[in-house]
Amino acid sequence: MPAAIAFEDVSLTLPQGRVLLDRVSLALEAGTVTAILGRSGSGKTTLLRMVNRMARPTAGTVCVGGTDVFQQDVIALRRGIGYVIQETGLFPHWNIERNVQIVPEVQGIARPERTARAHELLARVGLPPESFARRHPAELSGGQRQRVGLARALAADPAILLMDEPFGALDPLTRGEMQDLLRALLVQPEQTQPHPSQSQKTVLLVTHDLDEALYLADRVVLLEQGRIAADLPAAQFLASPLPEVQAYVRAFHRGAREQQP
Amino acid sequence: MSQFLSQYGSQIVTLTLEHLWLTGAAMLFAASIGVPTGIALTRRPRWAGPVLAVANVIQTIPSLALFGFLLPLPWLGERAARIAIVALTAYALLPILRNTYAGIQGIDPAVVQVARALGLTGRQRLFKIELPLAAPVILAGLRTATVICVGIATIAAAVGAGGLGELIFEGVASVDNRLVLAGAIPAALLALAADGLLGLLERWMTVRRPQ
Repeated sequence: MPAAIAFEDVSLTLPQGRVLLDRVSLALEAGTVTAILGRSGSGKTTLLRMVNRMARPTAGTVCVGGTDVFQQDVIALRRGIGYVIQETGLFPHWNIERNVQIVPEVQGIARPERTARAHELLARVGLPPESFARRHPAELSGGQRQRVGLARALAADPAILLMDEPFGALDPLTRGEMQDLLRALLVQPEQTQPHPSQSQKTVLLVTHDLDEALYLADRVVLLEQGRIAADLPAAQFLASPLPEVQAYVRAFHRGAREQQP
Repeated sequence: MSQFLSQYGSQIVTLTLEHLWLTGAAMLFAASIGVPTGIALTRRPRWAGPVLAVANVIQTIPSLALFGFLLPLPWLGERAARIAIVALTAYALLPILRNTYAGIQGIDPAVVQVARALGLTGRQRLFKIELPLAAPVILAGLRTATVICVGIATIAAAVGAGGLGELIFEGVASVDNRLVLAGAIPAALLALAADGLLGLLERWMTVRRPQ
């Protein structure tokens, strides 16, 4: 079985000569959660956006389901991939219910069916549809908006979920709640699915938050200046002797160390 | 007063209708050129500068001069109303073009990015997301253009295209302020009415969707 997502010697060089990504190779197994960790400008968002063809490599190939994404129909490819970003990008002129069902809507699924699906998802992300379905994005808090963004990404039951700093703009408590929610959503198979195994999603999560990466991911990839500096199972990440990893870990646990006598 | 109205009343009505026709036809043309062109410019932003600059230059030509320039053109020169409509269309173009472009460009980039990433086709993105979100700004452009058109249409009388300008030119020639006002007041009322109606529509579109 081919990897769900595979990067093969992927590079991106800007016309001015700046190298954003430098020969990145990475294969993500279906049903796993991979976190791409790195500082701002390390190329992690660009790498993520190559999966749904929002960015194009200047060398190398990106495969989804074993086929080069540039050999696939871009619209079908994108509809099969859930996408969550920090700014949520909810459609301000639509209510929550319609926001969630945008992909089923453009796929031509009948309204009663997709509305039922939207309500089910809203309930699953902790927004009771009876009080939230008719509201507009502007009437929600940041955390609630991010829940809607998550529900929208899941509406077409995609096999792949791309998340770009999904909780980066939230306060620590709300962020924690969202991380718990996401973990629950990924672990529990959906009740409505005839084959629970199908809802096992391949998740690519971009973050600069080490704790988030360790909490949510099976595997952590550290990207530095467009190159893979480390690629480790989450459980082994903290213990890695690699200097890049140690630098990252030190920067993150500074507060905790200060407290110690 | 009543004597004046009974003498000129039917003429004022005819000329108002003529005025409406000139403005309405020009707005129809300008909107059907300006809105699609504005949309096209958002797809090719490199062209936006030059195209908007041309529309800007047209806007700066004195209206009387533009009507005069158009007179010698063979097909146009035969019918004064055609000249007037072409000239008015040219003047209405800039606000429509600029607002359509700016309205779509001004949409939160995250919203457009997500619409693309979720697999909306270009057409779906335009009709479901971009046009509805830009609608208040586009309408504001149509509103400005209409008011400009109603005003400039009074100059059309100078080339014999009719409209309320006829009364104004007549009044000026015969030093009769009543005639000037008989042309100017309905023209002003037309502009206010058009502005008010489009303003209501604009507000309705903005209120319906809280931002």
